[in-house]
Amino acid sequence: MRRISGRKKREKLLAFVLLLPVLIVFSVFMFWPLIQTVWLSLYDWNMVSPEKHFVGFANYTAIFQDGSFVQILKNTGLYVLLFLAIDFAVPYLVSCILAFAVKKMTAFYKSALFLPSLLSLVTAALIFSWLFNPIAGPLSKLFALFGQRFPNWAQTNGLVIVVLSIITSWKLFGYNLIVLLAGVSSIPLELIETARLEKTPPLEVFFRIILPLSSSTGIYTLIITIVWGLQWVFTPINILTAGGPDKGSLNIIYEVYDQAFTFFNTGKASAWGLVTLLLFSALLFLEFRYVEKGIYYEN
Amino acid sequence: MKKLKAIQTFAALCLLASVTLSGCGTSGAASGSASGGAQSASAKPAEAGEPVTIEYWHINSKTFGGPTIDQYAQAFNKCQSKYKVVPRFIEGVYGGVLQNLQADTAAGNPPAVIQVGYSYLDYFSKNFKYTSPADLIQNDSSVSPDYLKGFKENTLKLSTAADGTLVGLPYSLSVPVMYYNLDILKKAGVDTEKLPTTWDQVYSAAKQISDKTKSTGLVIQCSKDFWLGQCMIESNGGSLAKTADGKMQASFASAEGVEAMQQWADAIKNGSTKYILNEESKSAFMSGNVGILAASIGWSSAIDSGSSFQLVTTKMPAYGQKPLKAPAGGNFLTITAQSEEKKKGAWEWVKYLTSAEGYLDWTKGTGYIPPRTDVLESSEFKDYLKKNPLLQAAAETVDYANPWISFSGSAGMEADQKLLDMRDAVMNGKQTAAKALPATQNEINQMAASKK
Repeated sequence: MRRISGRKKREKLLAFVLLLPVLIVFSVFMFWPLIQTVWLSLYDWNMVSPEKHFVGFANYTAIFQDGSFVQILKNTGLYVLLFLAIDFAVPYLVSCILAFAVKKMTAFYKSALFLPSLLSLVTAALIFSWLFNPIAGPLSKLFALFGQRFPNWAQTNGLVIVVLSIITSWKLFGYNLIVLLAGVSSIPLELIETARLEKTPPLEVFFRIILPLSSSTGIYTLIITIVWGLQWVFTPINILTAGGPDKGSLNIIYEVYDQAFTFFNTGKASAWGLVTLLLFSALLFLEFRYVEKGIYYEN
Repeated sequence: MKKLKAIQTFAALCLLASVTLSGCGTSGAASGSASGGAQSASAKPAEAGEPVTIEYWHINSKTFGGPTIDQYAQAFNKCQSKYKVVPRFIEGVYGGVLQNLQADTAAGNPPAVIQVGYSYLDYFSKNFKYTSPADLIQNDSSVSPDYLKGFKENTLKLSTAADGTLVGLPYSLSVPVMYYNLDILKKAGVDTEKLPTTWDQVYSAAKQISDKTKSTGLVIQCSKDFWLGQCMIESNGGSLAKTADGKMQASFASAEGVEAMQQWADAIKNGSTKYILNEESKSAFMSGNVGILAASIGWSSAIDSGSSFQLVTTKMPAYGQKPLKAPAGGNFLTITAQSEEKKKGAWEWVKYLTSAEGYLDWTKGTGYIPPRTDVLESSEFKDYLKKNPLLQAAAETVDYANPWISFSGSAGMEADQKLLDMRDAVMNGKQTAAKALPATQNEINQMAASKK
């Protein structure tokens, strides 16, 4: 008896020691800055002056009373929906096609679809800016051939977010495709073949077999799409619209940057950062509560 | 199979090597010649030691004066061994310079010399440390105490703070001008012998162009600032801001300001004018799809070399009989070095850049107008104007150059952003100028009052 409990103790100690480096790194680079951010959100500070003014919750009330708060949330929601549609739903379908329907040249398709992800988003933004130039771009010339006017997308609410999401998909699509393809390929082929032999319609095959069995990869990709999508769309927003027209393409992540590095309101930016954290924590909680049960993890 | 794999691996490695080495090649050339200067310095017997690094921040990209700056730095570094100037291109134009300055100052490592946009004069002088050229001129025996008299008076005002301190020396000076694509004007039947001199004439010419041809009539430059907006409001008799009791109050929502903005918005509504931002307006005009462009003279060399149609420039139009008021664009040089040694080196570099030959060369490389009277009246400059008639309109406008207004105080940058949001809202028809301008003016003034 004593020998067993001694071993257990040693195992626990070993586990702790092995995790210690990671815990230290996380504490220094994630937990400590997080605490600092909470503390900073109670102050008014421009990053340079030696004085910080304590303002309590004034930054938070300013955020919620700001007329553009709702618009920023709406914009963020629209970005997320577009990312999920273009860079989650579509790669999921494409990966199924590549895994089960395409027999030849799969390597070529994989490389071709992944290639844009290697391109810098700055380059992509500049290419698309030229492509979509409403006066001189090739698309506007094409539209003119049919007697139509190419919309001034950078000045049109809604459309500006669609275009910025398309530019971001340049990077997001390929990554998601590769990951989803790996997840979908791990499904035993016999299951698919059997379903096919029983003449099951392809959509049922997708929703009843493929989706549940690859759900662990799926849920990971879903979360990553939202997180990385909002991070990567920063580049085209910064280069092309700077949040315009009149906050039409501002999202919650860009607002944090704007407050901190364009207006030097580090206190308000920290407050915005915490609001973002709370928002996504709430979403994550909902996911754990209601979605995790349906996820199939192989072990 | 093995052979194929080997060939593929070899090809991939070659590609990788060529991509990385070609990147080294271009930067290698520049650093090669710069380090050549430093090497000859250390070859000198005993005295020198390491040359003091003078970091020079500028906003001139590769297509807009960047190579000229690199040449200056190389020449300067070669002809002396005490200092080594390292130019650094900063993204994000003048806002970017100040943002980087704020970050690097917080890190304890500010650059030696920087370009500050005229519109940031107030914000910069209130929030950052600098050394006034007036002090350096006094302590420098090699420079005449009348050094500053060589500058045009209205240009020195551009870099003088409200309390009279000279913050820096005016350097790049640009003014807005009107560019005309004569081919399109002729096609639309607009009289090219008598080009428009008032805004009413410009707008009706634009309407004529958009009615009779497939081209866009007019585009007005809208970079991440309100430069042309200020030009229009002030030329119509309004003002962007007024200073009373040492406090700056936004004042653009006067009847004249609203009128100027609404006229622009109406032209966009009727299809004769297009509202596109940043570099897109330049490329649209250069590609021959726009008849009239209101933009900085600083764009002239790029437009000239990139366009294939007949191009002329004129002074900005006036509003009826009211006098033209053109905000000076560009920047002044200021010394942000902290150590005494670096301050001396920075001053040497600034003197080099602001010499008569320096200004003339700078004009040739960028299209900026020199702020020094002796350069403007020199025969070399006049000859240069003859060969480059596009600059003539700008040289004529320098006399009308006014300070480019920036909002002061710690909320200055947010106020600038509010101006841009307001411009977006009015030009996209979301709000009338009569509603948007007073609302934004109140917001800015309230924000300034609460942030003191």
